Amino acid sequence: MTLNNPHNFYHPEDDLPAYALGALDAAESLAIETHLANCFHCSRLLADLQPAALALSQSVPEHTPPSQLQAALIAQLPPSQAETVATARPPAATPAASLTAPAASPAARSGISNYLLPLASVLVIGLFAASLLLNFLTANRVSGIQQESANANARLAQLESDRATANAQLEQVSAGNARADTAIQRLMAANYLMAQPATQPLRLQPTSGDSQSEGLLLVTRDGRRAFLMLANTAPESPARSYRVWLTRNGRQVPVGAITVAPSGWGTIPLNPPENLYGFDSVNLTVADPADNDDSLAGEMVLQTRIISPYSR
Amino acid sequence: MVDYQNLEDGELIHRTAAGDKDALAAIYTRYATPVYSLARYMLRHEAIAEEATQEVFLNLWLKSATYNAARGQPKAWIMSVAHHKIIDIIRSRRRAANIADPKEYETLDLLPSGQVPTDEAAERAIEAERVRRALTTLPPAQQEIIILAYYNGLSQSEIAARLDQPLGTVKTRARLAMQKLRVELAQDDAE
Repeated sequence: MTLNNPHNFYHPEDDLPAYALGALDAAESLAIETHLANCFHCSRLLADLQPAALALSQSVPEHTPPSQLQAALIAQLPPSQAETVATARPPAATPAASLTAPAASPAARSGISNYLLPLASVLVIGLFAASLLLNFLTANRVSGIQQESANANARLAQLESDRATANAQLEQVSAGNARADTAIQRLMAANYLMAQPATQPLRLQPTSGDSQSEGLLLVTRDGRRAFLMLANTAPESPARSYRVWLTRNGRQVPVGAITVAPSGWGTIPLNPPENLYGFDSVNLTVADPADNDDSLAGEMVLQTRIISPYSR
Repeated sequence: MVDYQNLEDGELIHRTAAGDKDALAAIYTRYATPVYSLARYMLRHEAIAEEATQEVFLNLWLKSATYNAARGQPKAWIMSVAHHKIIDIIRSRRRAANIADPKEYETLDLLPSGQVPTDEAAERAIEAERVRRALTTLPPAQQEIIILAYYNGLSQSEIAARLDQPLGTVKTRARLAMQKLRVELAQDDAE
């Protein structure tokens, strides 16, 4: 990872190709994703690599998933509990007995041993009854095994479902922890900058008279690091995202995307590409997130001129 | 009444983030086949690929709020989420030493399936050929990194151990391979 300063504000540019390839381990991937959530610069670098990764994913032989997969997926979605308990199949119908009466013996046909007929009949009837009993017992046993198998399958499906739900909850907790870590790191960074006697605060002014939005930019003496804080600003939505720009001689440079919480607060550490005091102004704009154009698109919300107190 | 079929991917992701199951169902309709195909190819097991496909879309349901348009096309993001989830499953199974078929891909066998040819299948075959052509322009050592990492799910550390190379060398090759692949595919698009 590339260190830009001694306070852990880094851009993991070198690891982005490996991230796009899926070649990072779980901890490294989580660190990259946490960084990407707040870094416009690295997000754009990754966006450049994504077409290559997408091409790799689309170049494999095509297979169509089973049609029942979608219904099973929707049934699994939290918060509703998955209901994937397999329905126990009814016992298979026992094949009808197909015993046929044995043919009459040649002796009977010849009339030589007529007295043996009743005995033979009793024997045949006995064998028939025994085979019926055996068939009944076998069918019962098969039915029992099928029932046990269905129950085991149902338990297995339930366990799989529980595992998927637990994994999903674990990922939610991990994502929440990552967000909390980011918030704590930002608070520490803001405290650090505010505690520096040489840090200069610049107040961003609303461009519209009826706007309640407020902004404060803290800039270090060397102009290499800054921290932007927003208050009373309309929260972010699917159709509204905020971006921060530096301008010089009419040319604008994107330095980050800032998330504004429902409370109206937002913070972002800025790593300007060069000394921030070399720029003319800092602007905050609001635009449709789908617009990736690097122009100063969208409505300007806040602005301040950059005046270095050290050049006077 | 929302016509989900005509909504763009980005809008479907935002609706999914808001808890709209119909939006996720629409994403599923569009991406179930490429996701399942990738899972089948990487996992080489039909039943596990089905399970993986479900986990991918469950993951999309949970992660959709983190989608950021600055990170590129929604399609690329969806397939990236899918690829990372499939790799998680491969590594988890590898740790459990429970792989039915331990054979891994060693060559670029990105061949079209034996299914009845359709327009879509033909497009995929062309795409596979395009990627194969781009990959063959890479030095063999860089091709190897792409295959081991992307399709076999090995991490950089595992690749370094497998190839008996320093980790730094593997990282450099991975970076150069992706940069060159990106350039080759972009040139191919332009031609």
